[in-house]
Parts: sequence; C-alpha cells; structure tokens
Amino acid sequence: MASNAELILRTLDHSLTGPGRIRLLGGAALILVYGRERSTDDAALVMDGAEVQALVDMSGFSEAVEATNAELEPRGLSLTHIWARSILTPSWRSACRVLQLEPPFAPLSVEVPGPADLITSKLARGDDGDLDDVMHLMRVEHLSAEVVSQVIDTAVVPELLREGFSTARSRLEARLARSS
Amino acid sequence: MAEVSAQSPPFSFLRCRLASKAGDVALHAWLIDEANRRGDHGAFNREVSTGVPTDGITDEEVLVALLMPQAEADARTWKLVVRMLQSGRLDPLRLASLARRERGDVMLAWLLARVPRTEWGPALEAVTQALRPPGHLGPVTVVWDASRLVRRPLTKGTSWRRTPS
Repeated sequence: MASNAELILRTLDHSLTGPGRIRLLGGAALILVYGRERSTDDAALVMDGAEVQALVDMSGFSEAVEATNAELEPRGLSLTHIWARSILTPSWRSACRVLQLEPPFAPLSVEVPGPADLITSKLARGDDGDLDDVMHLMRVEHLSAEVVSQVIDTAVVPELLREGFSTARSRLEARLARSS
Repeated sequence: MAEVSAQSPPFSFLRCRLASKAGDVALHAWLIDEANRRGDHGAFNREVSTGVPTDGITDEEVLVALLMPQAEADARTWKLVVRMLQSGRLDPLRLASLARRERGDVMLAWLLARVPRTEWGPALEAVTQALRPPGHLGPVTVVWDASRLVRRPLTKGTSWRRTPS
C-alpha cells in the first residue's frame, strides 16, 4: 500500500496540467528516499520563487495544489508548505537526488535534498522527532558525528531561524554525546 | 507576524489569491474590511466598509490570512480574530487544516491560549480540539493584554463619548 507521502505526490501528479519538477523537504523526503519508517500526513517543498512561478505558468501548479488539498482533506493529508529557503548547505542544489517510484510519475518529477541538507534543514525546529530523523539519516548514510558537525558549520541559516537553529544544534550535540 | 512568531514565511497561493481580490487595497486593510462585511466587528479601518462579502473567499481563509507569518503583526486584528472564532460560523476542522497548511496555527494556538475564560464557549472549544499543537518554533514574542477581549456592558464610565455640558 502506498504511503501517505506517495499518495500526496500521486494526487498532485494527477492534478498537474503539464510537466513540472518539485523538490520535497522533510519527513516525506525521508520516507520516500531514505527508508525512514514513520508516518507523515503532509509533504513540504523547497523551491524558489522563479521555480514556483514556472510551475504555475506551465503546469497549473496553483490549481493543482488546491485540488490536491481539497481531495486529500477528508483523509487529513495535505501538500503543506512551499519554502523559498531553509537551513541548507551552500551546495544543496547539486546534492539533490531524484525520487524514483513504480509506476513512475507523469508529468511530475520529484527530487529531494541530499542527506547533509536534510540534516541541516531539520535544525530549523529540532524537536525530538526531527532529531530521530537526523539519527536515522546518519545511520543509513554512514555519517559520523564529526562529519555532521562539519556540515552544520557550513549551513546557511536565515536570520529568522538563527535562534531556533542554535537551540536545535545544542540539542542534537547533546543527543550525539549520549549515544556515542 | 513572521518576526514575532520566529517563523520563516512559506510561499502562499492563498495569499496571492486574496491579494488579487483586494486589488489596489492593501491586503491587511482589505482583510479587516472583509471580516466586517461578514459581520465580525472587532477592528476597523478609517472608513467602515459596507457591502456584501466577496465571492469565493471563505471565513476560514480570511481568519488564517490575518494570522499567517506574512500577515502584519497588528494587535487590533487579534480581537477581530477572536470575534470571528466566537461567531460559530467557522468549520473547526477546515480552519485547523488551513491554519496548519498556511502556518497560521502557531499564532492561532498562541491567541487561543490567551482568551480569558469568560470569553470561552463551544465554538472556541471546538477549534481548540481540532487544532493540533504546532511544532515548537520558538516563543511568540508579543506583549499584549488579552483582557481587552472581555466584553463589558457600555456604561457612562466606559463610554468614550463626551456628555454634552
């Protein structure tokens, strides 16, 4: 049976009127690409304004998002936030991976950030669930605490998220120290 | 609102749609007018708007647009929001779902937690139950006296009108 994350993307895929590429962020990306076994009831994206505008112009993205959310609302599922930026490393675009599912999406194509960028993006909030996700990524991608620390040092943090990031980083470091 | 609730605002198709309805009017002022056109009087612009509600916009959308991270942090509108919630017209589940999608849930939860008990009723209870606690995104940094939400009967002492001498 398809996961909630896949169902959200398939509903969007059916609602688009033309080809389009989106970039998943958060739990949906972890579940679909990094084998995280947990549930999610939403899918968030990271796309800049030009990318969103291109999708709106070429593929009816605005109406497709509305139709997707209307169809999935009774199930409590939704395509939620489209972030123009998050806490990411400077090279995040080139580290993205393509999501491949069977049957393939058409006309939609989906990519997700690399593990380092998913880890840094999780530090925008850094609650227990986010830190569980970070630990999972470290495990499946064989990332040491030292490497993760170096990655976090390079992250570009939007001003509004600085305080939360700092707290989340401290929480992650405490968790890593406990688990070592 | 992004600054007071420490949230980075996501892109919002809802806000784009509302802005196109507002036309030349600043969206914040238009939302206040739109709420008043629906009979929710808790804040006003310089000129009171009359007329019928705009087609194709729901009460839930107006309310969430007043609380989302892109909204102006204007304490006048919080009283308006509470009056809208108290009206009982809003669908709690739809409101909770939309608030979450548009990140208005942080300010909505913050506001609900401040409504004095004397102003509570079934409508507010229903919204509170439908609203999942938003993930912690840092404290909301606002100093605001919620006691102004308490409705009091108009008396000579509280009236702003001067008695003719």
